[in-house]
Amino acid sequence: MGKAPVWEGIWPAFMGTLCLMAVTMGLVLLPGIGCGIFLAEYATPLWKKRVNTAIDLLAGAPSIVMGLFGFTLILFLRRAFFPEANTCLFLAAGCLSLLVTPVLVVNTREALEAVPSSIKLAATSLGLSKNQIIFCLAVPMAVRGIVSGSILAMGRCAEDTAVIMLTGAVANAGLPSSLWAKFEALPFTIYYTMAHYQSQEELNLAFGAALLLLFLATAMVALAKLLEVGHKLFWQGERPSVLQ
Amino acid sequence: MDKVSVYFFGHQVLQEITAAFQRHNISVLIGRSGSGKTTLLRTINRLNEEFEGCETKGQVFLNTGQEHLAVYPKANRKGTGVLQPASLKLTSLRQRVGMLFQTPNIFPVSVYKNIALPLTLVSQAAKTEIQERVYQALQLVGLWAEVRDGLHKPAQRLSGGQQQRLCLARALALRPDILLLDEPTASLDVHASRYIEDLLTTLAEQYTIVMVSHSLTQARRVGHTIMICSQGRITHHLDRDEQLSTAELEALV
Repeated sequence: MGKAPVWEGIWPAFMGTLCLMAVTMGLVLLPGIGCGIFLAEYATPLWKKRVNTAIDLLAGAPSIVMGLFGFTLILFLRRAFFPEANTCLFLAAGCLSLLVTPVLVVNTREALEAVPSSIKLAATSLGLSKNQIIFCLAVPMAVRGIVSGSILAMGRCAEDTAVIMLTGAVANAGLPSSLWAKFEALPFTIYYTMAHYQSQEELNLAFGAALLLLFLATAMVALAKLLEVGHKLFWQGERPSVLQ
Repeated sequence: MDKVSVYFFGHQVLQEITAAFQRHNISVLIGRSGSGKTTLLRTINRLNEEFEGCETKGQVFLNTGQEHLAVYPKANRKGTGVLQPASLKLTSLRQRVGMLFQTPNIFPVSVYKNIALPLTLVSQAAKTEIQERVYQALQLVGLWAEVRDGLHKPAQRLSGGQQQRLCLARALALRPDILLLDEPTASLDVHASRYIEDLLTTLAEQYTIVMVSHSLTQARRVGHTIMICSQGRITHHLDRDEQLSTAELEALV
């Protein structure tokens, strides 16, 4: 006892990836979906044009550039304000959230734009206000698109390597201890081990990590399906007990 | 309705229309496509304003028996010096004026929620009262017997005629004074149309109904008054006693 390392293998990397996904989604969900709603329903043509251009630019930025941005940002912060600042989980999540924002915005916008205008007109004629129509009718109708956008964004968080290797992911950090600590992540483990393995065991570990990443993706698809079905039950009221 | 003109992107669609729709009557608007029937209908609940490039001049008054209300804000008739009655808030106007469209546009929710959702949003009624009003509305349009076992099933599963009646029930549940019908039977077969026509005749005892129709025979069957629209004006105004044959009507249109 005590001679073998407690956290060996890919468990810390798996947990790191989960934490990274959670923090990123926490940062990006509200602004991303909010921006999509704004673009689809509230924005004037001028603002639509401006914000859409910005989103397109962001969507076109390669992830390594986003990583470099984070890296430069931390250098700047160290020199200017916080000499203690260092690359960490929070920085990686912040940069990733920049990377996945366009996915979320575009999916939300398109799902809302697909809501038939005849239904909105009917709701208007019933005396519902614009906000009521958007939040009580259009958004629930667009949930499927919004959920699939979120799942896509989560998938991107799980698999992206370029951003995190410049902003806080390391080969050996143990379980993520805080938002301000370095962390391990599955894609970075795969990348690093594949490049530097010295034994058959290490190669197997990398393959194991890859397999786990695939399972994670499958689990997210299942989660999306589950959310969709649950929403349908609630929204369409197929389950009588909901309202009676 | 006083000197109402409507413009879309500067193009005049309605030309200073002045008309009166009798209470507890069915007024039917007929005319060729593009003669401004639908636009005329939508001036009453200000639905034209939901479309881009629309400008409305003139004023519409609503007489509910107890109140005399202006539909458009006062600024609409600047400088006329005429004392205007109080104008209505847009959302409360639309709650008083129910509307039915050419194609049934139910919400993709259950039958019950289709009626309960708007009702919950616009009125602060308690759950039990809402349930009461949903049931009443369904009975009023004769849907109750057909859907009572499937109240919480998706409304998309209903037939076209049933969906249109559900839309009618949805409008009626808000207890409007006026019903605007924009070719409500356009997408329905003969039987479903007849059913809706009979329903309207019954409803006319309680509601003021203004209806756009493409069918001259339908106009003759249900209309207490028939108005013929042409190029943004009402050219003829016929009461039910002036018995005209369909052919004569056709000639006027």
